[in-house]
Amino acid sequence: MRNTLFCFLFIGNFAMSQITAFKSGEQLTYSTSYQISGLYTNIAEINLSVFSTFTKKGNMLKLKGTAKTFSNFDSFFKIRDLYESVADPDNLNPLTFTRDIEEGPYSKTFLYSFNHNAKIASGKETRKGKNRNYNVSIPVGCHDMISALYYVRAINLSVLKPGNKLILKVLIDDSVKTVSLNYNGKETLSTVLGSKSCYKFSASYPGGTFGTIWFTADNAKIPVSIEAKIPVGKGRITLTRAVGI
Amino acid sequence: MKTVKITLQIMAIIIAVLAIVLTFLLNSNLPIIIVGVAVILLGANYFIKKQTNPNLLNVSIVVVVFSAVFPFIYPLISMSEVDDDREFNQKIIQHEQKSVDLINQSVDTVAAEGNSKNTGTEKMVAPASAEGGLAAPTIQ
Repeated sequence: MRNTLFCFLFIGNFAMSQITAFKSGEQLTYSTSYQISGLYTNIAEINLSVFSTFTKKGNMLKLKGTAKTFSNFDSFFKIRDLYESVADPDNLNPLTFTRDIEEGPYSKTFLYSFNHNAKIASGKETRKGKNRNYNVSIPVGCHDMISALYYVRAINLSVLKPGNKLILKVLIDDSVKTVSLNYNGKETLSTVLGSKSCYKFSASYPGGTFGTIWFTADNAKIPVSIEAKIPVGKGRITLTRAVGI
Repeated sequence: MKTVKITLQIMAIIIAVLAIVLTFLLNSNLPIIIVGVAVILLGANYFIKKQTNPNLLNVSIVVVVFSAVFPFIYPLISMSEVDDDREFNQKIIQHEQKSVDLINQSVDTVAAEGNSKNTGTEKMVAPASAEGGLAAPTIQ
């Protein structure tokens, strides 16, 4: 009962919020580093951008994420990843989502279109030249990997208390995963934007963890740092440039 | 004995230089960490003994110490740049167009059917909350 009441209080704070955290033209650049033996090596650059795109439906938000290995690292292990979501600017519900990844010898492409009323996402997967079409049942409020990130930025995080969990339903590949963002309180980080108080979350899913992510504790809620454990060593993504915030 | 000591000093220099070159080539600290540790161990094991060639010893110490601190300096001086990959850029543009086409097709389908009830654009964009704005998040 107490939990239910708690949820209603949160809903009251969240439901009427408008998206002011980001706008068209915002571009965030990150450096991805790999840590082993206590030292970090820069391996790739990640870009997140927000633009308006005109469709017959009207102006939509194009939320794009790209990852590219640095030129010196290309010959060793080349990465060219694209994640792009076209979302409704009012509620950030994704209309389409593209995931095209090329990581060394491995590559695959997904293209989804979301039908939120019918609660179905239609997907087309291309891997090794073979196409596969399928439908995935999606719950209300389902996001893709990119729109989920911007959705978290759009909502009011200031009402969270340490120990709270944000539960997201995210379509990853051909199934919907429940992603849990566990709020760990605030931490002050030294960032390219200066010293910033940040919301700290540890992201997990049933059976595993993604890592830790820090959002600035201001209106923009910019993800400034991400740390993730990988099989050998540790990966870190750090904001290096922010334009249009 | 004298020949052995000089050979080890030269080996230390060669390995240290090789480690630095590998660091440049791979843009990585990994080679120098592995080889640098080996060089330091080799050097430490050797330099504590009586030396017969002071000049070569000095050079060895400088190179080995430099190889040890290089991983810490290198990230500061290395150029972390990405290539302007035309093929990748072209692919991005194609995907963007596909997404827009997909949305437009749904609108065209509705227009062709002359009935937008529960189809087409209304299918594509459903309000996430009663107010039509952001959905309230699930909190536990």
